[in-house]
Amino acid sequence: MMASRRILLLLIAILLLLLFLAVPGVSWADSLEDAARNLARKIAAALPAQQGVAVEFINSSTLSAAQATQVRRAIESELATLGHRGSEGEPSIHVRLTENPENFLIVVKFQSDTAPQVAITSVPRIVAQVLGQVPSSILIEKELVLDQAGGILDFAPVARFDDASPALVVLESGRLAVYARRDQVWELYLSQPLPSQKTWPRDARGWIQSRGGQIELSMPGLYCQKGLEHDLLWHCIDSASPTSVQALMRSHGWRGLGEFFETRNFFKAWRGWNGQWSDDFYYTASSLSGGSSRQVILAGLDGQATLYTYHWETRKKIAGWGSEIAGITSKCGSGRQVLATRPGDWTVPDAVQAYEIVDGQAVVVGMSIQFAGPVMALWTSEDESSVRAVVRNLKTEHYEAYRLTISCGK
Amino acid sequence: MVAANAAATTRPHYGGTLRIELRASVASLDPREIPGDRVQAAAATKIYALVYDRLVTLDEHGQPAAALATSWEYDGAFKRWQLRLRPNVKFHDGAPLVPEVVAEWWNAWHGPDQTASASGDTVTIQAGKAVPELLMELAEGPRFVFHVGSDGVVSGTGPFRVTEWQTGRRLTLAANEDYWGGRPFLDGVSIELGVSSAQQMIDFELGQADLVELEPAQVRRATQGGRKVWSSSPVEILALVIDAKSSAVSDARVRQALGQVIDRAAIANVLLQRQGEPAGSLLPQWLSGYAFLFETAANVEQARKTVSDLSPAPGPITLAYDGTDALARTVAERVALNARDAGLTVQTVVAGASGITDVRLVRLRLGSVDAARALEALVKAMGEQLTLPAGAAGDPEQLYAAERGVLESGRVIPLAYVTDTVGLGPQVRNWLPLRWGEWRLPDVWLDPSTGESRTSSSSPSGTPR
Repeated sequence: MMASRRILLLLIAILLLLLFLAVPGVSWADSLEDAARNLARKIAAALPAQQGVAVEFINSSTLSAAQATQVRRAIESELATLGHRGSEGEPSIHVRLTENPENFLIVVKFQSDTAPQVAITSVPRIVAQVLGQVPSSILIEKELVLDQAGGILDFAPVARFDDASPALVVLESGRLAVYARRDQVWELYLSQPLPSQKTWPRDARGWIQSRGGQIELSMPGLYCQKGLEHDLLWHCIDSASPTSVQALMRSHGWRGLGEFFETRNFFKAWRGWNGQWSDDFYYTASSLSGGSSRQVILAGLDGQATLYTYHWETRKKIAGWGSEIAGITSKCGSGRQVLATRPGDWTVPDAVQAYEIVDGQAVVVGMSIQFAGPVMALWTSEDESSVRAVVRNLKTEHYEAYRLTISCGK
Repeated sequence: MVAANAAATTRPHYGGTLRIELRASVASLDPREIPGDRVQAAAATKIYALVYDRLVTLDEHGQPAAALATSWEYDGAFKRWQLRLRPNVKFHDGAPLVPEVVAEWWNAWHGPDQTASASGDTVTIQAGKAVPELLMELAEGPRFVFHVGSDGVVSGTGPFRVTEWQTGRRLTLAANEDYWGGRPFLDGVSIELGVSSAQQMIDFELGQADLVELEPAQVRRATQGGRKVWSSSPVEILALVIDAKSSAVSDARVRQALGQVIDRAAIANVLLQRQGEPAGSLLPQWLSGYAFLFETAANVEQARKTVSDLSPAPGPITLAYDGTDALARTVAERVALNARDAGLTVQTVVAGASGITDVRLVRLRLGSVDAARALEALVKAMGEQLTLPAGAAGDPEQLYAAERGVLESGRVIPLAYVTDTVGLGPQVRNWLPLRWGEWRLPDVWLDPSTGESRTSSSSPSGTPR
């Protein structure tokens, strides 16, 4: 028994090592700069020795201004190293950053000592890039955690993983992926298919949480646990148990019970007080405050959120909210806010606004925070001090994972 | 306090029927019978994609992504491909998607140089010669997987199943409840075929159609009344193709002058109502990334000088266009008008009406979202030769050199790129097509709070769980 376990652990270790070795050590940003330098060497080879150059630089791509500046600096510094220092006057080298579906391109037109020339190099589009904090002085603060081409349902940061690198567990549409952070870039460390061959709704939602070396995963009709590192086995409870929907509900900040239709994107709520399922269907739910004043808000299919008392008496209909809502605790105001998206579909940029419930009314608190695409999911963290947001950026067509917190501002 | 504005939600609603009108009269739902005509083929491909799936699809960046095949492997020579099939997928007639069926489908399409065999949950394709582009071939064109039942009916695995088919006139589809990609939000789709542009516009304005095709001249009118207009990236090219046997344009300087004198900006802005772009190259900028390197601005002075230097003066040039395409006619007339500024005489004729033509105005659709494949297909369709060097597919610099080589002959003169443009009714939500015009109707939903009450919340029968 012990021997077979050792063999299993050895096999897993080899698998992890192979996966690690398969991950390129050079970051994408390095590749872009390397490509720019290589192109500069090609240009230099075609120029008369020591000829001064004036560079015109245009960014027609979706690369950021900072990334474009990196490219420009790489070209100019490489040219200078090769004896072609910057000069004043009419541009003699025209650089344009462009893109096609597959690549970013650096296209250069320049005059060699014989004729006009064109040089082009390309770098594949980014797969997963880094992150950085987006400082904000407004009430809701957002921190970009991950930006990647593939879909994200949810994500769970892990402080230390394996070789002590920070890690990120990402629930994607068909798999669970573990990214380790090295050199400011998330690199894919491990991926595993989801432990179910169910057909999910087209706008599938899923929630994960990392706790004590365990990953919890919940999707409509499915609840699973597995060890984070060397345990490749899932332990799942299928749809017969309400655990999965409870987990989903809890992750919006509501500890009530709902029942999801597996092939739809909505649920019925269990009205525990009168022991009945709701007649209406809902997309999301969030609880407010505690004790006897506990209230719950459910976002309905009709585009309106409904505020209920603990005993499921309707207190107020709230219009103007999107379908994603999540509760959050803070040290500001009443100490409990609800974050809600705007109405709209997946074709328009979205925003998240914080609200407090005062005398049965939803009151806006602070400014909304804008995103470059629809917010696909909002999930309340386990300690309810933050909310995870997944955004589909309409410009880059990437998925972005954010951590939202409430700051009291000044 | 909360603003009480229109009720709408970010998460989609289920229910409702999307009403579409198309100009084409697609004659068959059998994906083996893809029409040869440009307009018919484009419409047929859109319809087939609702009923059938491909083994491989394209993601937003035009890269192969899993569809009925979830993963694949190939040998170093690109001759042996193994595709693992998605489990638990069924055709609309209830038959399971199994490797044996896919192998049979493949072998019916291909000769002995590419044979498929089934094993376990995989299909292995063995080719006589290297097929490095197999995934793109599977993801584009008419490679829809189907299964012929014992009754002879062709079934797909797509997001919608056929409920009514009046050949060439009307198609009604219902959501495939068991679709592997998740049940579509719409309950159904109805497609009226063979509807003229004018009639589509009327139905659109009266709220009797949710999705119609728009001509450039209709765009401004369509945006009135809360309706939306969507345009793809350019997916067609208008170009002049010189007849190799023509004596009127055998002199390269005449062809050069004709290319220089055309006001492409006016064609794009006025005739295409900005639903297109001036073209100096064959591939549009979004696909190649380098199209801006090709000149599109007119140089009337230079063209006039070139023509005036010719001795003897060039004779009249006959320009043929497709008589069924109103846009082609107006563009041909504009070319003739511009040519006069350089001292060239261009006579426009309907293609086929005259036996002798010097130049043809062609309107061609991009055959691929892969730049190299698209360039090869365009050049071939124009009757020209293009041999891409090995490695050109992944090297924009080589592709640029190859394209410049084709255009420097002057036998092809690009004029403008044209987009696909559709009008969308106020209820239509989640209109998220791919930039090259491929629709994604399973994601579309209808907002019941907007417009007339045609939708109802669709819920599965029985108790949840």
